[in-house]
Amino acid sequence: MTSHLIIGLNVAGIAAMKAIREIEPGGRIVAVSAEAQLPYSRVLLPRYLGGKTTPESMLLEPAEFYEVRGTRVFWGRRVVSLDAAQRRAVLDDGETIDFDRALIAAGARPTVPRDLAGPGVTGLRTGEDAAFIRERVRGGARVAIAGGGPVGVKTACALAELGVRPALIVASGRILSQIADNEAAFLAQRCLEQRGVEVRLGADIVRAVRGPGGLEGLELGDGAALPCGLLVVCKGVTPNVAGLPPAVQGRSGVAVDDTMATRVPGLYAAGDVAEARDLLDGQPRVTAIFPGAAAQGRIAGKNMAGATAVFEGSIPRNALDLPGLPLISIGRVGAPLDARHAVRVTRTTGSYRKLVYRDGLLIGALLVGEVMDAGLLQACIRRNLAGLLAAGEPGQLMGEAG
Amino acid sequence: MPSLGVSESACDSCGRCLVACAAGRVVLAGALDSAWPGQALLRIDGPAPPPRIRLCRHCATAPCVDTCVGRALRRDQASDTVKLDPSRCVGCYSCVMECPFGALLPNPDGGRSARDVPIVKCDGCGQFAHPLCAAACPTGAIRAAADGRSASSRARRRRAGLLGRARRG
Repeated sequence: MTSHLIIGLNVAGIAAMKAIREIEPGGRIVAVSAEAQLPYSRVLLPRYLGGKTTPESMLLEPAEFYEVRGTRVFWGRRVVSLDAAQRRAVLDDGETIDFDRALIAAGARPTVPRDLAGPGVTGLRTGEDAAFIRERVRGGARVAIAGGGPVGVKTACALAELGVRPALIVASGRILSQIADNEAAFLAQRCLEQRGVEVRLGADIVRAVRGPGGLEGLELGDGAALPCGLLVVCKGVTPNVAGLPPAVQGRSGVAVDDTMATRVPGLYAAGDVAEARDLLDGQPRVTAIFPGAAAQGRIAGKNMAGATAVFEGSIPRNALDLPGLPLISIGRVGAPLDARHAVRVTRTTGSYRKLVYRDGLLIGALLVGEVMDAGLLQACIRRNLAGLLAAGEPGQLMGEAG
Repeated sequence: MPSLGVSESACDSCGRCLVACAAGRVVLAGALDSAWPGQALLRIDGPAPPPRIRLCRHCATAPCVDTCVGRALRRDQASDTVKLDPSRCVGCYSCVMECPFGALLPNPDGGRSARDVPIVKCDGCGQFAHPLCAAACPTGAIRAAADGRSASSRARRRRAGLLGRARRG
């Protein structure tokens, strides 16, 4: 019986566990979870912050799921070194685990610029982060959020609904710059502002001003001072690659092929740590989204258990549920102004829809307000991008959506 | 087995499936665990050939289940269907983004009742062996998987395996 090690137990790790169990019922699975509590849905943290969900309803699986014969979980522990040749992992408390195949699903952590890190500054990635933010907010701290991406926007929205009136500091000229165009971003920003979020566009944080009481405020690029007692940094995530063999590392995460195998035999990776193929340009890249982690984890698990499964590639996409204003962005939503690309925009009261075509093929969709066709459009975009890639004519990276 | 096989090219947009489904929600309300009375849990888009049948295929590996951040959508092994638990739905629209069949439909009652979720979907007619839409379909565009054809080849294989074992036993 093969011995499987799963490093990191969240969406990808759990999906792999299910796949392995399905193929090898009763097989030996050891998992190492950095957090001591049962794995929960990180995507729901902003909702939790806003008091709209409970820890129990955030659980990815009930406790029984981890108490199956053949499965053992080390809770609250980390793998500090992974010896690929010896097939042995060492935990932070010195315990060693031998394995035949291992899945690296260690996830990622918030990217916090070094000059900002310190007291009063946090990301929003764990229940602990959320508890810290809630405690500060209850204490009356003024809150600033750095980063106008989906996580920053959701966090700002959640805090605004608590009546906090947070400031959202966005380096770019609009919010959601990676997933929305100017018009969609404008609609989303208006939605935030109506709920009491103060949006500062084109603003850089130069310095965190700290006093004896901790964080006192921020100095912005234009010289303005922004008083705040708490800064939540939502500027993307950094894959957790510490302790991993150099051979598996890619540009920022762990390089994998379409079977989620790393360059080292017996080692696989999935989820926010894995650099899997991006269908937009065919290049390996971390696309840290929930559905991607589930699919990659399952595919890795199947291959680890001896079946054959292939990942069809990632499409950058995001669903954002601003109050009363759902927004879904799929694929390439900003098109260069050239002869090969075309856009079609439809507006109604309360909705905005933009479809992006390349040589007549749909490669991107941006839906605001009315989003119910998103899945149909994604299926079409997926087909087209895979076709372009197979024909050796990949699309290009989005950069900032235009 | 209530799983459904769908062939859009066979559909002539007669709408009998919609009537059967909506009526069924009224008649079976109480017997079903997820009934929206009077609301059809599928939709036919356009007579434009072929019409699009927006109906849950109850995929064996379902993208909506994969993406559900609140774990409101789950595959129920016993009934071989994908079920929506409205009490866990947080209304994030991720499933809407992932379903290639467009089978998650807006909840006409969304925001106005206790079931404050933005979506509804096919409940597979619960424990009933023959989904009402399939029973009402005169052209074979929607078939119960018991007819031997289903949307998902994996589910089909698994069913074949189960049947095989039953015969041997």
